[in-house]
Amino acid sequence: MATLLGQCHEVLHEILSNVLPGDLSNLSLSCKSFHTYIDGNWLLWRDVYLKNFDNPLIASQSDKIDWEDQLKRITTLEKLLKAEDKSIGDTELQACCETISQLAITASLQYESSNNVKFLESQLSQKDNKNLFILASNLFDVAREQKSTKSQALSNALAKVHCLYGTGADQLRSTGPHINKDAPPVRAHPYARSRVYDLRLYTEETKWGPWSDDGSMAVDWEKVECIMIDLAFNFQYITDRTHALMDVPWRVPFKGAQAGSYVDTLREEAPQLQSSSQDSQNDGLSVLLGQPDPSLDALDPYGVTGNWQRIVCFLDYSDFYYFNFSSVPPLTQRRPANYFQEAIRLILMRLHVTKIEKQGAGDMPIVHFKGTSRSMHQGWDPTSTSAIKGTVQLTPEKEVRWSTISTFQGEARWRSEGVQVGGIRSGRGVFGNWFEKDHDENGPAGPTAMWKITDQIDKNNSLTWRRCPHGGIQLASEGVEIAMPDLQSDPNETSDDEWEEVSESEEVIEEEPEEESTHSSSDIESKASGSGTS
Amino acid sequence: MAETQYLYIMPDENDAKPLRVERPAAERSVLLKNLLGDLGAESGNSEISPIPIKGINTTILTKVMEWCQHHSADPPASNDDDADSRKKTTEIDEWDQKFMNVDQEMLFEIILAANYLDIKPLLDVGCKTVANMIKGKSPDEIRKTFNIQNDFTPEEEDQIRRENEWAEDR
Repeated sequence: MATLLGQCHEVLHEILSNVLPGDLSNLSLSCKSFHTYIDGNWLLWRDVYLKNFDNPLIASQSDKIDWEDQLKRITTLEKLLKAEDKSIGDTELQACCETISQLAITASLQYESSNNVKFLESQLSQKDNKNLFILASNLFDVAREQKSTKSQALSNALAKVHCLYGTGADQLRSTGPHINKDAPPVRAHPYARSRVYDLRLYTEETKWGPWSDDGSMAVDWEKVECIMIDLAFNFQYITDRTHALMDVPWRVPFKGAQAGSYVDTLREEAPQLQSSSQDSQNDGLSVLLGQPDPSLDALDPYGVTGNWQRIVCFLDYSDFYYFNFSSVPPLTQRRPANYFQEAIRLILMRLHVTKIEKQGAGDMPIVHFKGTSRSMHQGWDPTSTSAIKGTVQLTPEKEVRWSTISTFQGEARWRSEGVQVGGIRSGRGVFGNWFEKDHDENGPAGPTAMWKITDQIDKNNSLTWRRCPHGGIQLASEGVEIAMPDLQSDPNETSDDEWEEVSESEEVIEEEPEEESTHSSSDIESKASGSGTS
Repeated sequence: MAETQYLYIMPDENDAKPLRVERPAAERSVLLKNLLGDLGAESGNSEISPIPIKGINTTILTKVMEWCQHHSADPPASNDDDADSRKKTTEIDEWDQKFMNVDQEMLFEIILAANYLDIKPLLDVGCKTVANMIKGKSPDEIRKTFNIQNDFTPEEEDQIRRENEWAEDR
C-alpha cells in the first residue's frame, strides 16, 4: 500500500521541502524514520529555507551557510514575534536581533518581491513588536524615562535593527500629527540630539566617528541610530515648513539596507544628463577636475564615482558650547535631552576615484577619492562650493568605513567618519559624524549622512531637485528654477494651529522665530571655524 | 487543422484493456515522450502497439491520464532548477485541488505514478498536497493523519523534544 513513509527519498524530499520550518520539528517528533530522515539533512533544510526566504548566498560574504541553524533561529524569532507574551531573556532577545539583521541584509535586492522583507515587515509593523525590536535600544528606554537594564551588547544589537529598518516607525515631529498612527508617541530625537552633540563621545578610540569606544573599530550602532534619528527629525522639520525638494533613503523599512541595493535613479529619469555632460567637455569645471579614470572606477568595489547627496546638521556654536561646557556630568551619565534648534545643510557632492590601494582589510582595497561639495541652499551661502577628499575601506568586521576631509579656500577644515549601513554599495548610504580637522577639543562636531544618487558625473554643476508637475520629486539637470529653499517657512504651508495634538514643552524652544533660525544657520560657517563669537 | 493522434497504453492489471490517449496528453510524461521518440514514432504513425505501463493499475492510470489530458496544452516545464527561480509558492490551482481531492492511498499512488512516468508538474501538485496535509499539525496529529506508529521510547522522545525547543510555541 502506498503510504507517506513508503515513498522513495526523492519523493519524500519533494514533499518535505514544501512544509514550513516548524513542521520539520513536528515531523521529527512523530517517529524514528522521519527523525532519521530530517536530522542533518542539509539539502532538505536548504530547500525549505529557499522556499520561504531569499537566498542569502547572493549577499553573503562567505559561501557557507548553516541552513539548519539559520532556519531554526528564524523559527524561534517567528514564534516570539507571533506570541502574545513577549517576555524573553536578554541573550535570546539579542539572538533574535541578530537573526533580524541577518534577514535584513540578505534580503533580495528585488525589494517588492523579497520574502525576507515581507516576513519582517508583516511582523514588525505590529506595535508590540515595534516596541520590542525597533524602538528599543537604551536610547528609547531613556526617552521613555524608564530605567534601562539592557546590556550594551543587547542595546547595540537593537539599535542595529533600527538602523537597518530605517525611520518608518519613528515619531519625527515634536508636535503635530503622527506620521504613523500606530507608532507609539515616544519622541526620541531630543535624546538622540543630546548624544550626537555630546563631545565626550568624540574620542581618540572612536576616531571621532560612529565607532566603538574600545578602539576595535566595531560599529557603535547606538551612535548610528542617534545620527539617523537626529537627521531624520531635522529633515522632517524642514520638509514640513518648506518646499524641500528631496527625499531621504531611510524611510522605507529595510529598503536599501543591503549591499548592492543602490540604484542609479537618474539613469532612467534624466538620460539627457549624460549627453549634456558629454557635449560640454570644454567647460571650466571638466578642465579643472580632469576626466575620471574609467579603469579606476572599474577597480573600485565601493562605487564611489558619481553624485552624492549629503546632509549636515549643526548647532549654533554658542548653543553647542553651552551644551557641552556649562556642566560636565560623569562619563557614565548621559547628558539631558537637548532641545536646541539645529541648522541643516543640504549638499550635493561630486566624487571620483583618484587612487586604489590594494592592501585594505578583508582583502578589499582602500579607495581614495576627491571631489567638490556644493551647498544646495543657494543665495545666502558664500562658501557654497568646497573641495572634498577622502577614503573608503572595510573595517575589521567588514563594515564599510568612509572618511572625508573638506577644504574651504585651500584650507582643510572639517573631517568626517561614517559607516555605510547595509554594506558595500548600499542604497541607504553613510551615517557618521563631522568634526574639526584637528579634533579640536572645543568642537564643533555633529551628525552627517550621505548617499549616492547617480553614477553620472554632473560636470555642468546643473544637477538639482525638481518638483514634478504631477507630484513627487526628481532630479533634473537644467532649466530649473528651484534649488533647495532656505529654511524660511512658507506661509501657505500647514500651520501648527491646524494640528490637533497638544504641543510639548520642547516645542517652545524648537519653534524659534524664523528670522533667528535663518540667521543662526547662515552664521555657522564663521562661528564653526573657531572664532566662536557671533 | 492536424488530426489528433492517439496511442494506446496498457495498465499493469489482469485482463486490462488498453487505454486510448491523445498523443499530446501522453507526452506530458517525459518517459512516454522519450519512448515514442526512441520508437521512431513519426507524427501520423498510428501503428504503435499498446505500451505496457508496469506497476500502475487501470484506475490510477486513467486518473493520471485525466490530469495529462487537462494539462496537455500547458507550456512545457522549464528545466531551470536554479535556486532563485524555483517556484516559491505552495499554492495549487483550483482544478488541481479538486483533482487531488481523493483518498490518501490514491493520492500516494498518483505520486508514485507521476514519479515513475516522470510527470514533474503532477508530482509537484501531489507533493504540495501532502505537504499541506502536514502543515501546522502536531506530531500526534501527523501520526493520526498518516497512520504512523510512535516508535520512540519515552527517553528518546524526551531527548528529541529538547533538541526541538527552537520550534516550540511560546
